[in-house]
Amino acid sequence: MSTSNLIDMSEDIQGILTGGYKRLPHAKYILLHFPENSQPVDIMKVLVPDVTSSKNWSDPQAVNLALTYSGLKKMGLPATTLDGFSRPFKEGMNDPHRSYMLGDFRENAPEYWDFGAPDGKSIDLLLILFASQPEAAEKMLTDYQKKWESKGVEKVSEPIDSHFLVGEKEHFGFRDGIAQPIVKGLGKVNDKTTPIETGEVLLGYKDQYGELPRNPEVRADVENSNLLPRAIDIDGKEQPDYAFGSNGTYLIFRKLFQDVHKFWHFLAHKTAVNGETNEEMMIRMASKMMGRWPSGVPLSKEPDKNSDDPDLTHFDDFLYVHETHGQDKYGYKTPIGSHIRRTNPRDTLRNDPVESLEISQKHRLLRRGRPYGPALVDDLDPRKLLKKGDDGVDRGLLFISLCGDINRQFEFTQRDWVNSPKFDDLYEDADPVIGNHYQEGETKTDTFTQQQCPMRKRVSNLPQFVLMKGGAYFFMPGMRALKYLASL
Amino acid sequence: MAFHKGVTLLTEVNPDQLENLEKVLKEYNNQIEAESPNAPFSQFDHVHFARWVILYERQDVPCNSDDYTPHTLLYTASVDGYEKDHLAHFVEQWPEGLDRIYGCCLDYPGSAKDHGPEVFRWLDKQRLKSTFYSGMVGLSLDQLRQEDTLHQRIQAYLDESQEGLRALTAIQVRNNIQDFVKSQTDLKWALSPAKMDWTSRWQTYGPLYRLIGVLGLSALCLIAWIVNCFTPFMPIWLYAFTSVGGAIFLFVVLFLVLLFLSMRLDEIKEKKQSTCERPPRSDEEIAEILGAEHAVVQTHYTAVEFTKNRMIRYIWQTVILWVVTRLSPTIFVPTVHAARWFQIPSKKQVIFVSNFDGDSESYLHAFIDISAIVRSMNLMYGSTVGFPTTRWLIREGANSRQGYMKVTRVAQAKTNVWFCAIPHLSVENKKNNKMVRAGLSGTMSEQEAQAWLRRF
Repeated sequence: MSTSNLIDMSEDIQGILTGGYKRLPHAKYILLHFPENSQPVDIMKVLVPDVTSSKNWSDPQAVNLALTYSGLKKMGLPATTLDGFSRPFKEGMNDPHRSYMLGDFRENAPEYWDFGAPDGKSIDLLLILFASQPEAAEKMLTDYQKKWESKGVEKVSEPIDSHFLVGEKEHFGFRDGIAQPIVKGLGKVNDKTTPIETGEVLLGYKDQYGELPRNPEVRADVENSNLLPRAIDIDGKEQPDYAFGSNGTYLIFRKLFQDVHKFWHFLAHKTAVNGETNEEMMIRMASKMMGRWPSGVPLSKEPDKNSDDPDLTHFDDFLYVHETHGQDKYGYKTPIGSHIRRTNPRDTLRNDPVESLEISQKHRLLRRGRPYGPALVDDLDPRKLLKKGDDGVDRGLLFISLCGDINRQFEFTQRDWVNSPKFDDLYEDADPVIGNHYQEGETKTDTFTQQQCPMRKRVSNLPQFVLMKGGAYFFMPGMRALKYLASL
Repeated sequence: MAFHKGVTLLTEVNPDQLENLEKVLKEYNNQIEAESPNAPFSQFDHVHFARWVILYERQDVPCNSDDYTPHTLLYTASVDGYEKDHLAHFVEQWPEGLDRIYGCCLDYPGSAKDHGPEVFRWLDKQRLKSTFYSGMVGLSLDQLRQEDTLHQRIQAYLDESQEGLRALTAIQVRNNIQDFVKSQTDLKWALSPAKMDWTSRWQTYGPLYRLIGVLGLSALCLIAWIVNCFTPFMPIWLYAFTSVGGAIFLFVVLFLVLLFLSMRLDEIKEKKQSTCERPPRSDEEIAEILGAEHAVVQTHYTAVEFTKNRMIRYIWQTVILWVVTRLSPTIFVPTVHAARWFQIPSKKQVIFVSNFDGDSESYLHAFIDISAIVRSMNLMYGSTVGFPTTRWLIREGANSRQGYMKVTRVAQAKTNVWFCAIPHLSVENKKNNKMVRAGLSGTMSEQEAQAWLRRF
């Protein structure tokens, strides 16, 4: 990729691609619907000038937006352009086959969602507001609400508040967002981590297979198409038509309810000694399920001691099988089915570290999720979380990830790694933290196996700790594409 | 019997009965999915996988000299034992079902109950030879089920006893497991290692043994003949024998070299010309096919490929499939339970069916995520229409991910009926269960016992 592309990119990509705005801890996620009598293009004319690009990433507040297929269709994007989007995006997250791929069945089925259900109001646009103070976030919301209401646009549901929890943790009490891929052109490349190709996240660039991902185009004879970047071929040669998708990305949005009380209560029960809660064992088992201690220290570095070594809380430079950087082929340190090992297997798959790394690199995601809802206990200490009980409050994670290929990167990870009870030759173990846990006939997914020597320790009948409560597939256009939409 | 065979039947559908056939197959598929006791194959104890697929008529066979293929019904099954025995089972145990399905095909002789032998002969006549891969070599359905039960029971025992066993050595834990198994009347069989009888061994490895035998002997003949040229030692009859043997070996080598060079020339020519393309499948068509996938562990894929319309490609395809037939018992693909390729020479078609772990997207990706496996894909499919052009037979080709994914979906046929005998086990689970049983007999060192216990 040439230097000129990098400069071009920073002006043309939305700011959330550069980073998750950690300095803006307060956010609002608003799902909007374009009713029949509304003018979606008019709301774009109002919103687009405020959208934060990567170049303005350091602004004191930020606005980013993305649209669903339904939203883009209502905007009036040409049919030939709409056809250029990927099949999963066009079908939508609540499509039956997508539900099968994602494990959104039983209590996770779309019919139970708070928003995005097939018979509910269609989600057309996701507006995300970021601010440094809660009052500033509220003011932004009030101001934008007036704007979208004046254009006849409606809310799908109440805006979702988000603010960071203490210690960058999620609601179960574990530090989150540690392992992120380095994307060429988007992040600083270092000599420790192999970056993934730009096209794994952004359309218009080569992906991990050396190909250009499918990119919706606008014909050159369409009015205002010249607002968009030119389409390019695999050799970087400009083509006659324009690429709507260039510098854009697919955004996966999922509201995941976390049953904090159930999580710690179950673990306390399973680790009790003579009927008495053993807090140390409870935290240890939770950490074995997660793959890291609550502080973020990976079990690969500290397999037995609950460490909060500040040099290791963000440590991510490890492998599993490698002789020096892993030494954990059998899962004695980080269990094979643990959350982090299965969502990013690194060198652990197929008894072949080289093959495994090659596979892993082709299924990475850039994550930009945030917690929603108040913490059950402010400092998220597991002992206190256990004692607090169930307060019935809705809290959890807004899972947000960015990728160039929804099926290959997100859905694959969800189906073949998170929810598969057969991950890495296991039998009945789905992801112990976020996976679907059930028994149906001969199929079981609710077991957690801790590999130990000489024999494993197994826990069965894991309940459902995380529930899917709503979501959609979005496309986050580049800045020029946004301007094009506003010109329709 | 612990050998697997692939049964393949191809029958022409009566066009007036097409709609009826679709209804009947849908009914049977629903029964299988509902695990109805009346479902097809539910009474069979030797069928691992089976499917029926309607291959609809084609008016526009790409790049082929034949313009038209009628509606055809494909049946494939992966079975224990001989193909003819499977057909005999069908006729004896499921005559009404056979009548309902094959009564929709041309020239079906009629009631299987009343005309069993004729129906059997008719079915046997529709059989095609195929190249068959099994991921469970030597494992009969009975054995798979028994070893699954064994694994589950030992797991339950370990779950109950895990606290008490934790302080023991691996050898001691293993001894406890052996004692547990001994105490269970219905599991005692597991203490004896599984053995593959000679018939099964010959049926499974026979083609490979014959190939090695012929090639090995002919290579030896050549070596002996060459030595004899420098130091004559052979009697006349041996000289004649080694001459013929050596000539066979040289012929094979020459044939392969010429084949390779011809294929390379064809690749170069293909690169210069525009190649035949199969029209891409629309997203809606793909969605309809994928809508049939909803199993948790295993699913299926059927593809109809067309061989590129040049004699060299057809020869190459035939040779590759011939070689794979012989080598397949030695190959292991971690996610594939069973697969089949067969050629329909008159239509220059290659049909591929597979039963595997996961969904079809991840399955198809698995073959191109790793460079080494891409080479195998290029060898197998490089001669099919629409497959991205290869270079030196193993390069490029499926390295074009988009080209490869496009042609795999274009080639995919909707499967009307799919049966799987043990849907909850992955290939690795089955392999692991076999090793669990194997580890119950004999002695082990502490390290070996630790390795064995990692299987739980």
